[in-house]
Amino acid sequence: MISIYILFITAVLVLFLGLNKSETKFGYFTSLILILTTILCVAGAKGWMNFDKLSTWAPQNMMFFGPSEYLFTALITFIVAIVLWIFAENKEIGTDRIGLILFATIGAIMMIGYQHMVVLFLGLETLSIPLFVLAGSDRERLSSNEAAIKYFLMGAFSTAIFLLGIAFLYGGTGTMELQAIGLKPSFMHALEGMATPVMIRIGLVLVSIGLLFKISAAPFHFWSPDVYEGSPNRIMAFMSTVVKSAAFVAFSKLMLAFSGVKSDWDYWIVAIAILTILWGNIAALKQNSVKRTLAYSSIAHAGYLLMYVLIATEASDFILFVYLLSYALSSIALLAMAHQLQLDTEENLNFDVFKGLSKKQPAMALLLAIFVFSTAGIPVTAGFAAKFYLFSSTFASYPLLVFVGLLGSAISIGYYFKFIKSAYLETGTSDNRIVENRWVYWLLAMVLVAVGVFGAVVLQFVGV
Amino acid sequence: MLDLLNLRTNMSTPESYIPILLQMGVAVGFVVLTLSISHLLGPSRKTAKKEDNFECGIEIKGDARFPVSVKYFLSAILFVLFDVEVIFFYPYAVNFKSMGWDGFMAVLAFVSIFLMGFLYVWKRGALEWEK
Repeated sequence: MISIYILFITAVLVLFLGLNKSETKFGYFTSLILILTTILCVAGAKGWMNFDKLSTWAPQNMMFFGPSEYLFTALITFIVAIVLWIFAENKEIGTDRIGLILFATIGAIMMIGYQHMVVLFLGLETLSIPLFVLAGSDRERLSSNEAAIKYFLMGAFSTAIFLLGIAFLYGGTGTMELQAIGLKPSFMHALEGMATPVMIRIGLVLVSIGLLFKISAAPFHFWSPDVYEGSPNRIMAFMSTVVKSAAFVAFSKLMLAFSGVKSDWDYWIVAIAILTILWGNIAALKQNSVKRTLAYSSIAHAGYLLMYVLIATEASDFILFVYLLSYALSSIALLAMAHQLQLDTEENLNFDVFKGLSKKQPAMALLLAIFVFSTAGIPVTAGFAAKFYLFSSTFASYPLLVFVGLLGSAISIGYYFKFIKSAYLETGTSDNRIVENRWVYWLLAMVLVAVGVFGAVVLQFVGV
Repeated sequence: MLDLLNLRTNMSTPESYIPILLQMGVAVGFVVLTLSISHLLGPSRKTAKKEDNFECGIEIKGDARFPVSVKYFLSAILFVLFDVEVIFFYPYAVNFKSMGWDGFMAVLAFVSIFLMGFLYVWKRGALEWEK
């Protein structure tokens, strides 16, 4: 709750103070506030501080922030802080974009802490509506407009399906509260030995479609490469990390409530996961643009993460946390580096931007390699640790899925190698720009390596 | 436990939606039937005027696709926004007494958030028509 209050007040302040002023300073200011929120949320998660008093006058059965919710909120605010800092804009006048990013973040936090289906829906909308605008915020670029309208139409349809699913779940269970939902179907199932009511099955499929849209899993992913490529780089970094993290936390929380009737839904989640992993990885091989490659890579990562939805228990939050952390930090860093190396134009961001990086900025080339290794899941980085935890805990119940995941990871080396190849092997006539904010990249790389090497210590801190 | 069982028996099953399906079938069937009958029985003489798009009876002038100033859209959107705000007042006005101070506080919070938006729009210059 406290993070929502802080972000709302900051958003309004930034909007009013930044009228007709340059955006840069406000970006850094907001970033610092977000770091502060992250620290507060970690303190809340570890029980060093207690914010329960602040939420006493909010409806009690709507939202709940326990340790794991605080931890995921901290993750979200940290990601947004990094995005705002690393993609600080110099040319923009007015702070609407920062305000909208903050409002979208509030939506993401609502999706993490929801206890009631209405809050989940409101969170999804609060997250999506600012993003429709932000995707088109580069008004003079045609592809940005295209991205906005595509995202808006797709988002509107998926929201309608999602809402219908909520209605079916309400019809089937008679309640909107997650706790109560979680008890009922499993209880009845065990009690009567009967099949799950058809309404609950339909509702689960429809609600999942709405959320699978947001995480861009395979049959529902067609919008994401186009939208990611068209929207400004900063917004792509936000969409591919924050939206995906929030949707995954919400999705696994929802499916956990229905774990009593798992045999009714696990088979099609497995099918979607297999399709997503293969489609994302194979389609990524054929891309030339950095943004499209990263978009397909994020689809593939959504496929791996769907494994978590199948194996989620109350005590397995750390798997999701470590995976989202490593995925988000490394993909933001990759995109930001490409963005800074080609600062003048956002059009057609291809692999040539990395050409000759190892000669001119060897340190940055090394960091690039670390980020690529982490995204690909190569040992000594966080990506490997995350994949290891995920695959090893999935193996017992879904060995086929783990096999497909390993196959996908092997395929993915093919396109991740393109980054390394153009940075180290190609010595082109590139006029690389100097990467700014170097210490942020160092910080991200250190976090990734630290999680990769001292995974167990991090887990202990996470408290599970 | 008992009450869960009751819930199960009272719950509407998919079968109870059959009347709705029937109604839908009748509605669609009526439209298809009348349209096809009039198409089959009636004479069809095509003239240039009949092929025109039907608007409201007046002859069509020009094209619908011409650039409109963004200000119109801005005003329209702002109008919708504040219109919706007023719509929320009606149910509140009806329940004014029963909702008491809690309801008043909620509406106050709602209006003040709206007012912030209005101030922002004003300061940002969206309401200046001649500029």
